[in-house]
Amino acid sequence: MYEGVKAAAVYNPSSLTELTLLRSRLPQALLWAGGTAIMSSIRVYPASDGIDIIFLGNVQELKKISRSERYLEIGSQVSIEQILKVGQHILHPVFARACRESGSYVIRSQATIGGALGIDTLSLNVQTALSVLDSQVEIRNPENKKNRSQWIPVRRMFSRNRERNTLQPAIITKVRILLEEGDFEFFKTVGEPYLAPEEAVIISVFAKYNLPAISEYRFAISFPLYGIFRSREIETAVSSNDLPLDQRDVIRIIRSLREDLQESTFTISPLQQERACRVFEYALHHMNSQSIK
Amino acid sequence: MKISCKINGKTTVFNTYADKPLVLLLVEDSELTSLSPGCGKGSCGNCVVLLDNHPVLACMVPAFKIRDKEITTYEGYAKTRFYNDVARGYEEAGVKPCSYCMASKTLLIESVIHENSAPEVDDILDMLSINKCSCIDEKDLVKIVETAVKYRRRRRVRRS
Amino acid sequence: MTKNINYISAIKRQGLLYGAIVRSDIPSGTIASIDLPDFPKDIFIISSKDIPCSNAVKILNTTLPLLASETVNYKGQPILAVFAPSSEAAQSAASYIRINYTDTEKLQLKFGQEFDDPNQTQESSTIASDKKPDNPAPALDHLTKTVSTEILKKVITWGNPDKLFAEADSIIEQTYITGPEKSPLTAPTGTLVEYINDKLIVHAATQWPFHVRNVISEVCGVPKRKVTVYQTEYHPTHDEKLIYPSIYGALCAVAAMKTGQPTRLICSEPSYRPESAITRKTALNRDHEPLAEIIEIQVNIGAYALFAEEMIKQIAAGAAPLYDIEGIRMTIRLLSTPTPPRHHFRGLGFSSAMYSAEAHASHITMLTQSNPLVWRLKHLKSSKSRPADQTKIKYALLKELLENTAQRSDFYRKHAVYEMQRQKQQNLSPFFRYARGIGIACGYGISGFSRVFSEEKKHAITVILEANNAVTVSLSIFEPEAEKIWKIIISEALGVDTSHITIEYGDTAHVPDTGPDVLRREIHHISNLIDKCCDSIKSQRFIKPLPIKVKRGFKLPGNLETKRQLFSGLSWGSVIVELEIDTITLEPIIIGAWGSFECGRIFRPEKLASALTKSLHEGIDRCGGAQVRSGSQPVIDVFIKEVDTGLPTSATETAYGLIAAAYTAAVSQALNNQAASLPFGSGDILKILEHGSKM
Repeated sequence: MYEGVKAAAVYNPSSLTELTLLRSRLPQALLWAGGTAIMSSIRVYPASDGIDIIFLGNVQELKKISRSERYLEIGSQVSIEQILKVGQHILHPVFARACRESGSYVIRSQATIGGALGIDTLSLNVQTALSVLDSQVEIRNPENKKNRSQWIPVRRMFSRNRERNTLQPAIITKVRILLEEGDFEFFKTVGEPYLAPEEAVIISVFAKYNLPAISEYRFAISFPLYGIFRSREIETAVSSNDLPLDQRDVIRIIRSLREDLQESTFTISPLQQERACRVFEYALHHMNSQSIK
Repeated sequence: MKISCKINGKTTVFNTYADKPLVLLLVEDSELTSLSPGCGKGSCGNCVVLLDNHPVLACMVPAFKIRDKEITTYEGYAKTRFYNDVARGYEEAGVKPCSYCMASKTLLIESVIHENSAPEVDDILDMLSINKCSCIDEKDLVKIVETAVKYRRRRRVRRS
Repeated sequence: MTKNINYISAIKRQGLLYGAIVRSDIPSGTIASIDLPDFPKDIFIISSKDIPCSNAVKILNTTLPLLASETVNYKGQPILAVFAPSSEAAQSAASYIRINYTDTEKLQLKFGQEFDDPNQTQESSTIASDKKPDNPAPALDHLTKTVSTEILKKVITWGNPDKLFAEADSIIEQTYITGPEKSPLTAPTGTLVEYINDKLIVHAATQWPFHVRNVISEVCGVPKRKVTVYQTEYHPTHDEKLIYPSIYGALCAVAAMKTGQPTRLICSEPSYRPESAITRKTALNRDHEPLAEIIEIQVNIGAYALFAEEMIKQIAAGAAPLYDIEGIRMTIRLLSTPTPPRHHFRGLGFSSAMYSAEAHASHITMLTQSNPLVWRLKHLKSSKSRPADQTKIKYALLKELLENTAQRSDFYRKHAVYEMQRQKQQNLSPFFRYARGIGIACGYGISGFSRVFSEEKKHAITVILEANNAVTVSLSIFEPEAEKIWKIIISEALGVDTSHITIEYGDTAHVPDTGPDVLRREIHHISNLIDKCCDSIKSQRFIKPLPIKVKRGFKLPGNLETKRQLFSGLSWGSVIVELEIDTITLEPIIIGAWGSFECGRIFRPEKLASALTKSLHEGIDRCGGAQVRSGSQPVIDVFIKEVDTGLPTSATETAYGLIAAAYTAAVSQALNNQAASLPFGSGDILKILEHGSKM
């Protein structure tokens, strides 16, 4: 039966309390942050079913940036461009680069960090970069009767078998990044994650060393359509070596990575696999050369 | 849903769907003629307007976000004195955008000048990269913007 | 001309109905039934049964249905149109309609599968694999992933290729594939129709307003004089706004007549370029000089053969090699598939065919270890066997352009260095080795359609020298970019200031039909007609009283096939591309592209340079597949040879076609493996790495 055009209903909470209440009433509503991902997706306007939209842009508590000695805390509705402007002297290079490469100025001014973390259809720059930093997200789950917020590491937003975790119906309220200095940070996007996600690869690396020992090594490889690949075994394999890494060790590590990718649940293309291995190897050599400067 | 905003200085009230893209609002429900819907999903970069003096892609902005905001389209901008600075940039560079991307490129150039009184080449290219029409070479784009910046500075000095 | 209106979407009318099209979602089948919910009275459905006269869109000799009535021949084929008081209501209503199909077994088959349909008749026998004994060329099916039916074939022979092949010392064979390409959805197409006092007033974003008028007239059974078409702004990035405005206009006209209300339809429908597989086999003598060539060409034209005859002419012209060759046999087959019809998209296959010719020349030089520039300079010359109706090649000009491009790009030195690297045949490990290549191509571009274009009408423009010494030009091509050129031509010819010259577009009731071969002709051919009109006016001036009105048209004399060359308004060019394979990301990164062009007399050098630069950029995007433009833009250097006399020609297609051949040659050198398909990007590079270099 023809039911006519179903208009979307938009809710505009102005406080976090109001937002949480709304969310508990409308757990299936579409959370609208910057809207860049929603508006550029293949959704057809008008939508065939009337949808509920909760617009987050007027919630003031979500737009704050604060800094302590140890942490940088960013409200989920802060735009990517604003993060780059305000944090230009303190952001980790890997995160700054991920933000800069997430789109042109026009897109960055509209996209928010909360929205970038909350996309469940693609794994992109911000997710990949924050995965390797000691960063956490604060979420508010309206199903939690005590209405408490909870901090979870960004790394754990993606489950062990490397699938994306959706946070529905929780709301991301803040992102906290530890202000630690890394000795080596690397970020690279290969291909076009939006236009050709089946071929694109995004890699971020964060390492600390106390020469010649590598004290910490973290990496994340994002295959936009499938999720973020992490491997504790490979991280351990790298950090158990001294710098500069021997060529044989590099070969062994890359071989492990190749095997791991083949065994993973991601059905990535051969091109993505090859790109991931090559860029990862390049990052290892880059770390080598930086360590001997 | 009734949404009130200002378009090129004129108060306008739309009675529309809350999630209707701004580009369709401007194209279908207003008297403006400079805008074409383009690709409709943010990849061609050809529907640039200024929203509270900031450049946005009109296809990426839903109607509910423009309430009480000020929208400037190319028609409105071209009547301002600021346009002359950009026009002189085109003239001195000897090259103009094609009719397809003229409106968007002009507003993006204005945004560069507005945001930054001494933009670097990277800043210029970053802002203009959203528009995918390749009718003008990068080096010509930079030349246009640098010329426009020069005239804008003179204008500011004269005013002060 | 509705000069103040830029886009269809800007035209407002009281009671306007907005349209949406319901399309097939299967490639092939029979419509069994259509489920329509009970729509309110303000929503109107147009089906094939509502069409007053002819459910057909005639495009030259081909007819395609306006709306599918029983069978569906491609996915996306229009079946119904819905009109409602708002665009939202129209799209929403369209989403409620369900089409039920039968006979959907005749679907896509993968290459290699046997096609065994007991209902298959002889007339529609398919070429499903290379098992057909008399079809030595690889089937196009692996490219289109579906079965194809040969609908037109032409064989062109000159000289005695079989004899020359028998005498050959060696044979080089390669297949060149131009893969599927669809236009980016950048600018929608639209029409708006009003039915007032038995007349249809049409606003259309079209390059071919008289076709819109004719189709509407035939579909609605309304005399042509009662259909008036006004052109609005359009952006024919690839000349694709030919057919769709006529289809949308016809649907809107049917709806306007049925409802009595103005109707509007705007769609973003992509256009598709014909894919092709061109196999070239060249016989060489002991000195590696080409003797003869056998060329097998297969082209996918989609479900309907639009512009088929013209396509064959253009492909034949482009595929003919420029080097001296005494014998050729060229077999061109047009294959129909259950996919959207291909049509004019940066020409009708000329640039794809030329790509294969130039890429093959580079392939020959690579295998015979010759310098491609030196080889071309040596072998670019006229062949005695080449038929008179073939294009007259300006060999001296091509050589000049080649040398110019080579000098600006430092081709000789770079080619020698990269050739040394290629011959070392090193693996592309991520580090310490690089893979660079530089490729060269030269050729020409055509403008519009051939002289033996089968449209019979005589198309014309009118120029009037008014009593006050002003000049008015009337034509139906809306091309404000070319206006300046025309005004300069008139100003120089008649001594009239350009400010006193008016170019009047008008509507179909008031301007002469400038024809469907309007495509790409605005620069050269219309300029030619304007020039002729001015000559005629000059001869009558001071003899006859003012105003003097002159009309000139395209004449189609009898049999042109053997007398004159098929294409006029040629432009000439040479392009060099230098690139590097990023061994980390496996992306081909263009370092630079250099082009030298001659396009007749230049009126607006900066505009032409900009258009050529844009064409080169677009050509690069097409070559590499998914937007290969990593980091900053490559160096694009364009040189335009100045010519003082004559008329301007359009060179954008030349640039677009040549860059593909130069790119392919550069990638082949970088990888030490023949790259013979477009697009050729990272995935293809990986395949070559996995299978090892071959040359």
